[in-house]
Amino acid sequence: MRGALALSLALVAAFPTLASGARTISFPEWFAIRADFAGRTLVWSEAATVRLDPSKGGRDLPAGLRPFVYYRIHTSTAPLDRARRGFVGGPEQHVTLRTQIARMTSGRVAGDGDGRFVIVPGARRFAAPVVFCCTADVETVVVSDGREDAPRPLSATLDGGIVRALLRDRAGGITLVSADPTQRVPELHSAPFPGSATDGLAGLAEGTVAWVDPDTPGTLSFGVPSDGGVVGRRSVRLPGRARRLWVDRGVAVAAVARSRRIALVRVDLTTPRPTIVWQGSRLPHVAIGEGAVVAAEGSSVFAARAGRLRRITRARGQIAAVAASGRRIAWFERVRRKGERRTVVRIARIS
Amino acid sequence: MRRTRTLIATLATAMLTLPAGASALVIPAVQDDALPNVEGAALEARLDALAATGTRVTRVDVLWSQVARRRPAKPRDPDDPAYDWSRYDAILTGLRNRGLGTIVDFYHTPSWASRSGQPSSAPRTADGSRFAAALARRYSGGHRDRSGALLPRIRRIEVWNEPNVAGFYQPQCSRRGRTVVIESPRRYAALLAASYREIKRASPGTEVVGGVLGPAGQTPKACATTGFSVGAIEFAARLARERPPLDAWSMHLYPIGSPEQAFFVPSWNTLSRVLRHVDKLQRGVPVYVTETGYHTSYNRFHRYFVSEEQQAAWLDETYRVASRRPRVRLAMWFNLQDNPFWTGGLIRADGTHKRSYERFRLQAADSPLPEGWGP
Repeated sequence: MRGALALSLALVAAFPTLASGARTISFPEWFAIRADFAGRTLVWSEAATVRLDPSKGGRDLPAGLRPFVYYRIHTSTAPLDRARRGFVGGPEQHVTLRTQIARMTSGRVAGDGDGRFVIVPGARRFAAPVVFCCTADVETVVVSDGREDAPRPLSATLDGGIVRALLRDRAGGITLVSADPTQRVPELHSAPFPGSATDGLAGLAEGTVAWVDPDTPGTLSFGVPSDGGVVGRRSVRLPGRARRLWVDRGVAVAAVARSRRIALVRVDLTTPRPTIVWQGSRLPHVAIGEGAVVAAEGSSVFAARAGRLRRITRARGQIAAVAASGRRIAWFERVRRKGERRTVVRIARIS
Repeated sequence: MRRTRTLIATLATAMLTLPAGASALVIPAVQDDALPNVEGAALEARLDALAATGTRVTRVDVLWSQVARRRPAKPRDPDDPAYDWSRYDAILTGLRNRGLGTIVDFYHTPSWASRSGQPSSAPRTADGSRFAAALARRYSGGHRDRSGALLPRIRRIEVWNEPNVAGFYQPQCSRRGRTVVIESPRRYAALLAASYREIKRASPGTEVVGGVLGPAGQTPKACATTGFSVGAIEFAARLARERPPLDAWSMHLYPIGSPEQAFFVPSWNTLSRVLRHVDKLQRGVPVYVTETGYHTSYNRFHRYFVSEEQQAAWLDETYRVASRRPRVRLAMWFNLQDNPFWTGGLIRADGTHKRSYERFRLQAADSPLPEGWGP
């Protein structure tokens, strides 16, 4: 907490207020990143492995100390101007998690229109927490369970101010939990879930839950999450086996395997008719938000608000993450400046 | 030859001073910070649960604001009608009845003594130290409650809790122009010195423990009203300049990394950096680690967490490492049971035992209680 505060103060000092809305900001290092828009802020999580070397800890340390690592997630936000055309400030750090259990990935970040967000770090070997940020700058830990057999969160979102999460137990059973994150100690309401899913193949968003059951990998199921469970469940066939799934309000995008290639299939859940909007050789970074879909493969960024994705740019560096919200998209680009690794965040408008 | 003789002499000295068993010198202990929040049968159940761990010593937080909701007319007199000790009489009597020795700390400023109205406000020295006098007198071993029952004896009082952390003691700093002025060590030194005088006058045999430092490494360069902590080394160094008296030093260690490997300040491997300054106050003063532990899931007060398996292994390692530091007499595991804001317990929130519970029981069973630590 104290370290995070000190770092955020340092970052603020390094990024004085940008009056006119700069199109880019940057920060040191390359991380595994997930990002989303949250109202007039961009929010992202960075996963890193931190190596601590006692040889840099001072001469009076006992002999025989060895380097060791821990695993860290930082979440940061950067404020956008009123039109969300550019940044009006540098990154500010919020929630930080550190563990020595096992590596974490950047997981999932979901923002709402009021600048609040929920994060679920990705973790294979332990049950990651679900954390909401923030009420008066104070985060709320919605789910945190250290038992070895604790249910693992698959996805989480903010749905009308309520945090909802899908938890998968060791036997594969899934529970939809809901909680008011403004409570000091949120009370979890659990509801049964009408299906099964695995990590990466279930997603929650405001008013929407979608999943692919491992027993029927070519079928997308979806419905509306509520405190009592999932209502209005429907299904649609996908043109291939689903490999990953991304969900936003009323829209799902599935990455499906099609003859050694990956296709992104967009499903507008009101219709619902699957449409292939992109094809490539590798699983791309994908984000969806307010009807827009953005994908990045290598250094190329593709996006569209409807239909097939068009190439928006070919960046100088590899893309680490993307975010989308209506006409706004953002991407995180890995560059080298004077030999040092930096991540540049760019924001653009799509028609 | 001379080098060989020196080596043999050094080894012989080391054999005399090192403990034979892993926890021969350090006392394994555990605190249950929920004790002040429960009464009656619930309190008795918690005291039983605490005693069942095998701990022989525990720590109790005396919340000043709970005892003195209004300003006492005679603040040094524990029988002043403004004081309500009922909660602590029950806790300390319950601990004595179960054969547990106790170290107490006091903090949480009542609104009438608070400059800002907040319980984290540093009290006026006179108010804080006179409460220390009342606390020491009531639990001196010779004081009776209204029914005539002899109240327990407390042998050790920690003056405040984490006075280097803004969440417990404010202000930590102030700004003069562009300069950040560190405030808390000087204010705390005055409180510690006055409390020492008052406690010794009320109960000469009671040990006064100073420091009680929270786990802060570097002092931030900017003065913020929240989240600001003075680093343990800097706090100790500044406190040493003020020369308050004390009988023992305490601090809290929550290392990032195993007890053997962690090298951030403060940790077991960097304890000597802090004690270098403490020795300027009183050379060789005993050290009590009155909070240590590892959290087994994420919570917002402690962002570093380990698995339950790591916690159990590192509990053993904590006592092994502590026992190799002869000045460390006590290492208090914090806390007995998890709650939503603290997940470093030996027991989960649902009442089931973590692996660390049995490890602690074995450590406690292996450690006879030294003279002067009983109830």
